[in-house]
Amino acid sequence: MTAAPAAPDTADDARARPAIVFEAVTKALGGRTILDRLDLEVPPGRFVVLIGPSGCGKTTTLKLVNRLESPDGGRVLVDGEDIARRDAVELRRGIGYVIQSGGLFPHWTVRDNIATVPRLLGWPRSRIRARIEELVGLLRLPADHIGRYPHQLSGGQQQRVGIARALAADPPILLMDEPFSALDPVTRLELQDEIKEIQQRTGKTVVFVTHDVDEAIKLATDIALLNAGRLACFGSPRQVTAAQAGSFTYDFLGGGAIGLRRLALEQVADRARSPGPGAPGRGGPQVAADASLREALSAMLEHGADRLSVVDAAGRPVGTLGWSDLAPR
Amino acid sequence: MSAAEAGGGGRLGRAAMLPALLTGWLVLLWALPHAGPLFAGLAPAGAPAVYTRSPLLMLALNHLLLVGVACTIALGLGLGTAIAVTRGAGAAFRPLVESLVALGQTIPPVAVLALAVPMIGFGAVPTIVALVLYGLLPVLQTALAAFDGTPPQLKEAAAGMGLSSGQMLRQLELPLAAPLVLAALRTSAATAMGTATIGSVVGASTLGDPIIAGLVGSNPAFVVEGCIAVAATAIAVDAVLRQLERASRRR
Ligand SMILES: Nc1ncnc2c1ncn2[C@@H]1O[C@H](COP(=O)(O)OP(=O)(O)OP(=O)(O)O)[C@@H](O)[C@H]1O
Ligand SMILES: [Mg+2]
Repeated sequence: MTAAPAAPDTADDARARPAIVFEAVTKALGGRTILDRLDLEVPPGRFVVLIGPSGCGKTTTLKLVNRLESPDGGRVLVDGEDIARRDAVELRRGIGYVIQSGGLFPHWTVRDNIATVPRLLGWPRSRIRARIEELVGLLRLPADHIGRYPHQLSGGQQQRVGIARALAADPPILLMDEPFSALDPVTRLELQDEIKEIQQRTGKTVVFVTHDVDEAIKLATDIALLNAGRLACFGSPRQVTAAQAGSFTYDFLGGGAIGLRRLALEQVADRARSPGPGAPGRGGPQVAADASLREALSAMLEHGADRLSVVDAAGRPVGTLGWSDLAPR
Repeated sequence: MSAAEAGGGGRLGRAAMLPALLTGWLVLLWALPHAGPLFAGLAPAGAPAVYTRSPLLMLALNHLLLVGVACTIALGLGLGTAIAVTRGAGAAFRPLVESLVALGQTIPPVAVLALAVPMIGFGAVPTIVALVLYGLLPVLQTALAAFDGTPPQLKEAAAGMGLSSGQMLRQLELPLAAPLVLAALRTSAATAMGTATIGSVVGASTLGDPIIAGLVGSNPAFVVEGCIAVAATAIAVDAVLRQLERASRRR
């Protein structure tokens, strides 16, 4: 054996290897080609949101990852390995899966529902119990609800249980198919914040399907727009909202309202000026420093003001934001 | 809190009802043979008013055994067949199986006995064959409908989490089907309670004994006594199965 040159940094390799790869994947359903040589690469630790017109194959794309569907052509790799060569059942136990609604077992309590995959994996009882407790806290479920049956929970709580169940065995990949679309706007915003925070904290790879463009822009590190069986675009919310007028991407992401969506991506703090002589006095309209420019615009319209006083979390004025500061830079 | 207590009280009341009903049934079967004066008006002059050739309680237990064995076989066979024809290669046989079982149902019980006796002889066995034949259809049809009715998004979620097909059957499909199948079994058992009396014709000892004896000997008192015993036993069986069904629904 010869002395090996400097060993490659294996940790770096693992980080660089995409979590999920679609290689020229073709899929036909009911005699129609749904996916047509789709190429898609999901780097690990990213929050990829899949959007596209209804029926374009978003759900099918997710199901190709956990082998609920199999490709007619091309291959899907998870963690560098062609999943067609892996045992489907074992593959699925390592991938969290959340569907829109109705996915909880009605004859099992919250506790049993959450414990599904850990039990399949044969975890010891004490470890399962500890994990359930942890997840109930993480998803803000009332602790006394774990003995309840799904029909005794609100829709939002059911969805929290669905997410807890998908996270139970700590899978590195989480697939979510329109998980919040059946919820009221308040609960939806709450759960969006929570799933984003959980993803950032745990570094899981998430592939999330929605048809709500605002939800996509809020959650995504990367947006994948699917159209006619292929990727129409893939990039950060900032990149995709910068699409050329007249393109499919531009139209899908809001057309005439795309400017508002761009505003949603920027924080007031980044545009605020230090308080000058023209600053509005106390009692004038205010906006939080961590609000988005879109919220600032809304406040200006609401108060009929072209200048807002910017305040920090404690309510202290830290600057001002004027109408002209909203313009793209 | 008060609602929960009230619910608990209701359940307690219901739980106490079953033992009371079963006790009533035992007392009735014990008392009937001593109720000669009550039936005396129905019996022809000089004939006994109550059936004494064998104890009513023993006939009832034998009757229950026949029905129990037949229902167990019908449940096992019906459920097993439903499982087999709702997955994999078995699906091809589903139409055939459904027609066969429906056909079996159309043959009258007396004909089944008449055909079975020359082949398997007198006694309990031909009776059980006939009872199974009639018990099978409701169980099979209900199990098929229940499996068809398992919500697809539940099956998808189950598969997506990595349940094998066996685990999906045991942990999802069977528990969801259980209350429906048990309800069907209750129907089968009720029919079987009546049909089993005909077993007495071919030498099975059942609560049909007094009825047949009464018919043969032109003694309506025996017929009435037998019918009361059969009806009471059928009600007791129904109550037990209802309780079982309720328990399966709770989980
Ligand atoms: N089992 C099936 N048989 C035939 N066609 C199917 C089947 N499943 C899906 N399809 C079709 O395949 C296409 C893609 O379906 P898919 O569910 O992936 O779309 P989607 O992008 O998730 O749509 P939506 O936004 O409405 O959820 C649709 O046109 C659908 O009608
Ligand atoms: Mg879909």
